[in-house]
Amino acid sequence: MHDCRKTEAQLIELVFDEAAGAQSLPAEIAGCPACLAQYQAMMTALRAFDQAAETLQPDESYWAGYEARLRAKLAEAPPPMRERFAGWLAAVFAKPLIPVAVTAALLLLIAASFIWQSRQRGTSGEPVIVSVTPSPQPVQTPSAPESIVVQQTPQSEIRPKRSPSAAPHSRRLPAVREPERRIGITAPDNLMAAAASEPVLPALAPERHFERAQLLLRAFRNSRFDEGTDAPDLAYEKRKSRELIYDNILLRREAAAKGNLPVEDVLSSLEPLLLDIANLPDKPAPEAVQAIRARVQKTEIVATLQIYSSGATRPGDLNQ
Amino acid sequence: MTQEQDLIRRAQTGDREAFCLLARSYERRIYALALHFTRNPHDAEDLSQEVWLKAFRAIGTYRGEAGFYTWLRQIAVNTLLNERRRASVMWDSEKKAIRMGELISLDELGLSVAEPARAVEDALHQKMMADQVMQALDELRPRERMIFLLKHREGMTYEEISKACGASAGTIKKALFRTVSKLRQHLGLGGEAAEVTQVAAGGKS
Repeated sequence: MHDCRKTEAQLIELVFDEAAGAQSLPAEIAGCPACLAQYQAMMTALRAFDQAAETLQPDESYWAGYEARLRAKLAEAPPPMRERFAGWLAAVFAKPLIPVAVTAALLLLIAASFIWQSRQRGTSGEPVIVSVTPSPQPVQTPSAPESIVVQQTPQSEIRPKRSPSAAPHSRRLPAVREPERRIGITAPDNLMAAAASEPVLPALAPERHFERAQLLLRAFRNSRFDEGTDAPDLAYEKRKSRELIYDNILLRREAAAKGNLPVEDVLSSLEPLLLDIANLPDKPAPEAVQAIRARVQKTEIVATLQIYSSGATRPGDLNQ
Repeated sequence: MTQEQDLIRRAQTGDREAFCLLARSYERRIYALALHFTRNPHDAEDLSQEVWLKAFRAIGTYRGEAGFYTWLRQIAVNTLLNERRRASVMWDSEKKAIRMGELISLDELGLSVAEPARAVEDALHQKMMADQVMQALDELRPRERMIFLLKHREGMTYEEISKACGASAGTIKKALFRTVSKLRQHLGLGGEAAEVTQVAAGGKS
């Protein structure tokens, strides 16, 4: 039994299906005059709509103005880059290809790297302790524009059996001017960097350090005053002394850390001499030079350095 | 790479000229959709250009997974439905005033007084029919109108319309039936008479 109501839905399907034509109408609809009339009326309505749509289309001349107005609006519109970046971000975080675990691992890695760098910075930022043996005649250099503080290491911390004469104290010393290296003793970062940039690493060649120090002290001891002037030319000795100070500090700290007391003793004796030579003024007073020479002579440091530089110490003493 | 793909790539880098060339390919279809939806040429231009501006701003997100026109049409559907939602109060009060037929003049018909009377009569008849069609669409709800346009003008499947408008297949079919009924009613094609006849006859012939 044909039911016109039931064919309503079927009519809609037929009307909006492009393949549906009069010849392909189901027999049930084609055989029912009411349903056929419905179908034909529907098709006529849609054709009327299509005709109306065509009629309402603007004239060809309209589009030039339309495009010009659109172009003007686009000129004021912001570029699509932000949206593009946002879309990219959304895509990155939406993609299952990059799991959350990988992202979390990357973030942890970055955080760990940051913490490690911070700690390294903190370590290198520790103050450099320079042991200074009190000299019998402190060098006075009031003309130096900048001064630095060298804190003496408390002897009890590293060497309990120390002579009482080496009591801890602080001394104010003039700054070392060296434009080509730009290193100050109180600038630990710079100091460590300079030490690291030395062509001969002290830890690798302690004997070489002793040899160089020995040669320096010999040169200093044998320097002569120029005729007609009061001040000796000690530029070379000052420069070499500055270079050796940094090696000496590192070697001494290393020896202390490894409990190599003989080497540490020698380096501790050498250090104040190197400091005093390096901090001599450009035109030192003869008395100041003589005082250092006297200390070199008295401590017999040159002879000691000669012994150590000749290999009397076991290779690797500093590295044991 | 096709010319369209090249234009899209250039537009994604902010090239407005490339985007204008891209717009030229689809501006008539987008405008027609807006016109049939709004039934007003001025609103159609405003809204269709808004669609293009939105597309330009969002073109960086287009990754070619669907056709460019499919992507663009979804922007148009969203823009038109949202605009109608915002302006529904104002439009309801004004819709009686916006009648396509009331604006008809010879100039608008593209005719002059020198034209043969037959041509003038045909053009006038078409305009009146268009007016009736637009009045029929005017009585539909915006979503019903959009469903009809997407089905009849854009040739989309039920599934595609369902995704685009968020409507079920049943809702889509009802909307289509209602639209056709309205058209028949306004065009004097016996829509109501047929329905009345069917009801009186118990739906059986």
